Amino acid sequence: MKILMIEDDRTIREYLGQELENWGYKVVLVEDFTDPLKLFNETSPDLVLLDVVLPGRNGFYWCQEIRKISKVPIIFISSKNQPMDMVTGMQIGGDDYITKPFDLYVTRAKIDAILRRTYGMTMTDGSMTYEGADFNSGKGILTYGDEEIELTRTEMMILSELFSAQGGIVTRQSIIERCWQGEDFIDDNTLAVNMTRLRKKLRDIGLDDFIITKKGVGYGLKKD
Amino acid sequence: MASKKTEKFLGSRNSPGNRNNISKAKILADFIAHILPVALAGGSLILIQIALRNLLPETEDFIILSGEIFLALLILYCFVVLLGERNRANLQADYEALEVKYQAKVNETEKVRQDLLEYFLLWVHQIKTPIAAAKLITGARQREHDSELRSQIVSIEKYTDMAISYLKLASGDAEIYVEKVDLDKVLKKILKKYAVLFISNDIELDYRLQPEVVVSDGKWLALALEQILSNATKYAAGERVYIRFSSSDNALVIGDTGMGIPAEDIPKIFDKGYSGFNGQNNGKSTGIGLYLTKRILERLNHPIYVESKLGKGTEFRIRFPRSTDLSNL
Repeated sequence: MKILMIEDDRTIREYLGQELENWGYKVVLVEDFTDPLKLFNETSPDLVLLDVVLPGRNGFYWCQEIRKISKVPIIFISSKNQPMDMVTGMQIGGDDYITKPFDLYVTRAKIDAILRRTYGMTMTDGSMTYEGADFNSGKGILTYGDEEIELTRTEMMILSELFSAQGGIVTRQSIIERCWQGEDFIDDNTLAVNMTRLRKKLRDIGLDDFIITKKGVGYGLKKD
Repeated sequence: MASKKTEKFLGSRNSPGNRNNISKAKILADFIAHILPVALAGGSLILIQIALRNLLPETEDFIILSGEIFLALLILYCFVVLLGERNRANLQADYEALEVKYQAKVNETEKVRQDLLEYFLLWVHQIKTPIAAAKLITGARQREHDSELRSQIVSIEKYTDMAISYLKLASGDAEIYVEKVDLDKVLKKILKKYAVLFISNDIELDYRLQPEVVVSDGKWLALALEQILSNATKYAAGERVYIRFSSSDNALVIGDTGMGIPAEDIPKIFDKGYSGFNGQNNGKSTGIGLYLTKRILERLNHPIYVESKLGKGTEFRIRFPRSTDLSNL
């Protein structure tokens, strides 16, 4: 699925764009703000992320222009977070509003929600694989060969981080932060307990030593 | 005409416009009011003089002399009154000119203040972009020092948000949108924002809040609660923070098992400039966090109570009006 991003800050364009691509979307970045509509017509995106403060005309103007020719879902991204700005955004034809700085998990959830509503599907219901193990975050199941295990919320968060790193090491802190973003407010001890339980579950389906510990740093999926 | 004559005589220091005409008319009226009885007295005196001269011819010289002296005195009196009026008119004109200048000054000061506020609002919105960018960069690849960097960025964000709340409150620009607010959602959002600080400081979070709807302004409430939680990340490092709702008094309870507050300081913690007690704070606190909290909660009519014991911990209670108490807002 294609997302068109109209955002004038280069760093945000790059990094947010990268995150979206990590989640499986194709991302088109606008760099010419005199006429973003040109790129819009050329690429026919499934979703538009629109900054409000832009050089030249502002995001509200471009939203109106897009609405003249299309019903594509539009999400505003902006640092203006007053109720008036959000109301204006919605009234002008936007479908949702995300404030800067971003909460990546909220952003992802909102994009998912809108795409599901509009097209009945999203990119992030899929699964991630690593060395034969298939992790489906949407369903909360890990499959290995014929076997499958159900995962608790915390275990899902842990595996999300580990699978995203694809063999790289992930710090304990970042796993815990990930859990917190998923509203699972665990601490070091809870993580250790969950890790032990998860490892046992994995051993039970033949994935011995699937998660390795790097002393003083964190965890990672084993590398062969 | 009469008013023109008065203006010429009284001098032309009056400012143009209606006010001028009104004050000129007033001066004229006052003048007449003063002079009329005197003129009447003078007139009747002359008549009496003439009558006496005819009736008592032998006293004629005396009568004439005394009459003349009296008339002279009357004319003198008229001049004195007139001078007084003119003086008053000048003072009145001066006063009005001063009033205009004062108003202009007040307007100018107000404009400067507005400009400053507008600039800061703009600044805060602008700065959110590099903060967002920095967060994205440090969020993308988890390297060892990125958590520390992210903690710093969250702190920067916190101070910018605090600055704008303070400015808005101080300038009376705080609009309040009353609505149904879910405390669970509000708190979770704050906790996620400050997650990296809680985690880096080794704080165990005991979160026992269920969805709890109260009537308030979500944005302002969040700002008030943020200060309390952000303080907790500093003063309850390595300890436990708990959050729950007490239905008995309809209050949100945020507590910790951290270092606590000395008894004599407890009434002072919401004062502007209170930045911790001896040995616990080395100038790192702005002293306006809790002050903001108190001000905001006062405006929202959610009383806040604090209990604390040095070395044991601190507990904040924020009471929300029950649905039947809506008149308080």
